[in-house]
Formats: sequence, C-alpha cells, structure tokens
Amino acid sequence: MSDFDYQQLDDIIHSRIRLAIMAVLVSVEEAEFTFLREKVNATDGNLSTHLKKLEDVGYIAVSKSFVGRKPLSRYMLTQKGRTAFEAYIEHLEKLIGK
Amino acid sequence: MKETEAKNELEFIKNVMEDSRKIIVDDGKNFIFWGIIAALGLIVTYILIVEKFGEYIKWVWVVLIAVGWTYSLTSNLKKQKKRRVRTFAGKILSVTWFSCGLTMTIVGIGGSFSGAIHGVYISPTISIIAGIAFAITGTIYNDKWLALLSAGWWLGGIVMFFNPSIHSILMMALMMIFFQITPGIVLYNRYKKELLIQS
Repeated sequence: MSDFDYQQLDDIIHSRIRLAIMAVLVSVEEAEFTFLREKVNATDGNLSTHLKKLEDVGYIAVSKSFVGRKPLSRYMLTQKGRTAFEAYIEHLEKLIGK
Repeated sequence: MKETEAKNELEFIKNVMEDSRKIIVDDGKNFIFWGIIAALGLIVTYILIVEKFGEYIKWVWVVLIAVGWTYSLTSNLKKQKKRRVRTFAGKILSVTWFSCGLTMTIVGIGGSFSGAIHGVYISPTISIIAGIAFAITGTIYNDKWLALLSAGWWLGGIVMFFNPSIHSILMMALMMIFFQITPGIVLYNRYKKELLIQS
C-alpha cells in the first residue's frame, strides 16, 4: 500500500457528483439529462456545470435533439472516460489492497 | 485518501451502478399485442381449415404479420425518441426479439409460400424460437418464471412436432394465451407499479 500515490487519483472524477455521473454512465449506454439528475440527485445548474467539466476533458459526449419542441440532451461515456473511470477504480482498489 | 474513504467510495460507485442497471422494465405491450395477433391468426387458421377455405390462410397471416410489424416498429420508434436511458441489457433484448421475430416471420411466411415447410410444422418451429427469446429475456430480467416459460415453449414444440395435426394449431393458440399474453399482462402490471413508485 505504501506505493500508492494519492495524487494519481483523477481530479476530474474525484468529486462526488462527477463520480456519480461517471458511475451511472458506465452502467448504461446513454442517459438523458433528467435521468442523470434523478440518479445523481443534483440541481439542474449544478449538474450542468459538472457535465460540462466532464465533456470538456472528453470523458463524456452529448447528443442533442428535439422531441416535439422539447430539447433532449443525451449523455454517454467516451472511450477516454471509460479508461479514466477504470483507472480510478483500480487506484481505489490498490488503496484498500485488493 | 484513507483506506476507509476508498472503501466508501467503491461502495458508493457500486450502489450507483446497481441502481442505474435496475431500470430495465418492459411495459409488456409488445408481448400482449403479438400474443393477440398470433392467437387470432391461429384461431382463424383453424376455422379456415375446418370450413375448407385453406387457400386463404397464407394471406391472413401476411395481413396479421404486416399489422404486427407496423405496430412494433412504430411504437418502438416512439419509445426510442422518448426514452430517458438506454441500457446494454435493453439493447440485447431489442436485438433478441427483433431477430427472433424476423426468424419467425421468415419461417412462417417464407416457409409456407415456398412450400419448404409444411404448414403443420410452422407452429412447433415458431414455438422453439420463442423459447430462445423467453430464455434470454428471463435471464436478463433475472426473472426465473419468465425464463422457465421457455421450457413451456420448447416442450410444446416437441409435442407439436410429434403430433402434427390440426389440433396443434389450437394448442399453439393456447400457448400464445398462457405463455405470451399472460406474461405480457404481468409485465404490464409491474411496469405500471414501477411508474407509480417513481412518480
């Protein structure tokens, strides 16, 4: 355990809301904004900010469409995001000595 | 980060992932609709054979299957547009039912129009294909009763293969009611309950 470097933890993922978003998206193929809001239990503004951060680093991708006049934003994990999430889990597992 | 924090973090991730995976609940409408279509077709087929109008059977099925596919494709397209989440499991289920449905259509329509499959063997063939779809669906939903229905379909298929007669048409109609429409109603009720819980 001594060789574990806490600095290796991905700062982008190492936030409760962003971690939850990543965990939801790794379990599903794609999820709509309102679905993520429910699962992550965040306000619209807060969720949007965190989604934007994840999108900016290329961990998630968004596709926007309309159903009637209602805009729909669907989010999905990118390959880069999946790799980062797996690395994050690996680091946590190393920390607890799994 | 301490070891306990890491443990909590992993536990949190696990819970979120499990919760997100739980949301595959089918509304059962396709089960009910196709069950009614098939049961209706089988009863009409039986009547047409008894009344000696057998030449119309193929066309009855062409119309019913065209109606069935039109309904399935349009309703699934609508659902897709409105859906809030797409899961891997949901995708596997869609592909499974689409593939099995298409295979059934090819067997039923292609087999009878080409004359390659005698009419009396179409029901058992379709029955064993339905068994595959139910086994996969039950396993993905983690519903033993739904997966066990596949045994009913396979057993029914064997019985109909060994007893090829006009009565196997009625047997297939009964299987449609008990192994297709009834589970569809159970799924529909569960879906409604789930919606109530979520709202």
